[in-house]
Amino acid sequence: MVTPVIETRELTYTYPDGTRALRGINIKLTAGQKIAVLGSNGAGKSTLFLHLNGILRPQGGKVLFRGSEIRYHQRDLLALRKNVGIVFQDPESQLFSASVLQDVTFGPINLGLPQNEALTAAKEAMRQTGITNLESRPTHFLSYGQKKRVSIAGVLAMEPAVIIFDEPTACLDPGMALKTMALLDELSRQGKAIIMSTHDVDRAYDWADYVYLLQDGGVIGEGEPQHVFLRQDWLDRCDLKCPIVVETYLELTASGLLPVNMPVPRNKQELFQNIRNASPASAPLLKTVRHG
Amino acid sequence: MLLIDHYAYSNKLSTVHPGEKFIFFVATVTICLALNSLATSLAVILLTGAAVILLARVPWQVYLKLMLLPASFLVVGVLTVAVTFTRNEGEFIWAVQLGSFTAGVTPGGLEFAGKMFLRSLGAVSCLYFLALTTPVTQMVGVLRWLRIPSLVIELMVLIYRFIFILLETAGHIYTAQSSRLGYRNVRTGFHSFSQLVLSLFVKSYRQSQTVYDALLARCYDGRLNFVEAKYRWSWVNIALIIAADGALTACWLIAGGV
Repeated sequence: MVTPVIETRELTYTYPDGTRALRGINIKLTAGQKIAVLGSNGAGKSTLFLHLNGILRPQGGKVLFRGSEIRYHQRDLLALRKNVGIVFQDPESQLFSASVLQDVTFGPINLGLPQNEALTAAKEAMRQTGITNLESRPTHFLSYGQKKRVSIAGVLAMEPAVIIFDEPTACLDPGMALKTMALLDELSRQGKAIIMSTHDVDRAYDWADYVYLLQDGGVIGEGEPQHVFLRQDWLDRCDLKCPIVVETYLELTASGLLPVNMPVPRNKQELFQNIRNASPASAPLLKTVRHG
Repeated sequence: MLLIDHYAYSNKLSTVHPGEKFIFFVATVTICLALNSLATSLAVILLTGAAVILLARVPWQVYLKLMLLPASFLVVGVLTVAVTFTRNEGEFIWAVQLGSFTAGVTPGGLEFAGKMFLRSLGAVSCLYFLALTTPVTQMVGVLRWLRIPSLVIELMVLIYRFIFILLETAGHIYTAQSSRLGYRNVRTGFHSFSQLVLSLFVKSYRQSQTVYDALLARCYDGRLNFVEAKYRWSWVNIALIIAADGALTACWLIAGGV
């Protein structure tokens, strides 16, 4: 079996004010995997993410990076934070410098790279996120979408093996959201493991290889999306709705328009293809339409 | 304040080596303060004004408005210097008798006040030149080059960035309040404003926590290390600076130190 890049075992954490944020969480992910974490506000997603990067130290359980347990001394933490990057939901909390270039180079410089290598890494990250033209702009002149991309570049520049995106498409316009998702796919193709938290079930269903459902600090369900999103009881507990693709599929199979034994389509395109194949009239009809 | 910041980034001299602008600032302000002559101060004001308006292409209306601000303060300050109170008879241009005192303007006092006014305004105009042409991000590089302790520089960088976050947050709260009639009269205005300050404080405190987490997430180890953008020294500019400041000094010498 492939060693997971990062793994948590029975993670528990209670905030000083008594809020039990995590109650025994087990998750793992391997290189190139795309994981979606869903759960209502306050389910513990952000707390979990802060553990994966060593910002919070678990009160119970452990975090393993490439199979070895994190010991929370300086060397371990540095290696963990180099390899696990977090893109925070609000770019305002991540951008601390008034200059875009300085903010993006911050991570690589902290890793001890010499100036010119840090610059190269930053330039590459800025190219990938499409913000090369913003290099000399001050941070406070940027739009929300631009700030978001700068904050992503700041994490990419450290070349982490795992990148955590906390609601990457929240507050973005649809075009920018699509671009961001395309970037996530590209990063996954490069072999990086990606974790994304979201409230958008359709986006999660299309994109993820594996899904975790969080509720009240615990994982109440996990698995491949076409398995997880069929479990209405899990979705109800998390106050999530069924993705439109799954809902349409269920409706069509229930009413006999699609064969019952057909596998759940993975995305919209597969669903449409299934509908076209299943409807006997479709082929000649399409022909007539085309010729007419 | 924000207007200056806007032009600092968008002016035509923003790509010039910050060191050059800093040298021009230091040389000119030194000449202006050290020579203390009417003509030199006036020349400095004109020189920096020309540099800001013609070279940096800051609109003259904006520059005039900015200059009026310190000028109005200076006029008030200088008035008290220009007016002399005395019991003795003196050579007054204009005077009023207040009991046994005479309050009035003497030629000496007037000259002194005029010199002080122009000298102060000249120094201010130099500072405006630097502020309007050099973004804070470039100034940081200059300060580092001057070997200012890094703690001071880091504080400056963070404070500068957070000023904008603070202003933006305050703006959002203000909009939210006024959209629900928070400032319809003086009474509710005071109440809303106190709420604004309070929630600004609470929000800033929470924000500082998240910023710290975000810094840690990128391997922050207690030092903010930066890559400096590279600028080229331009010998033409250096020559221009020497020529301009040399001319100022030369004029003063020729005029006989008036």
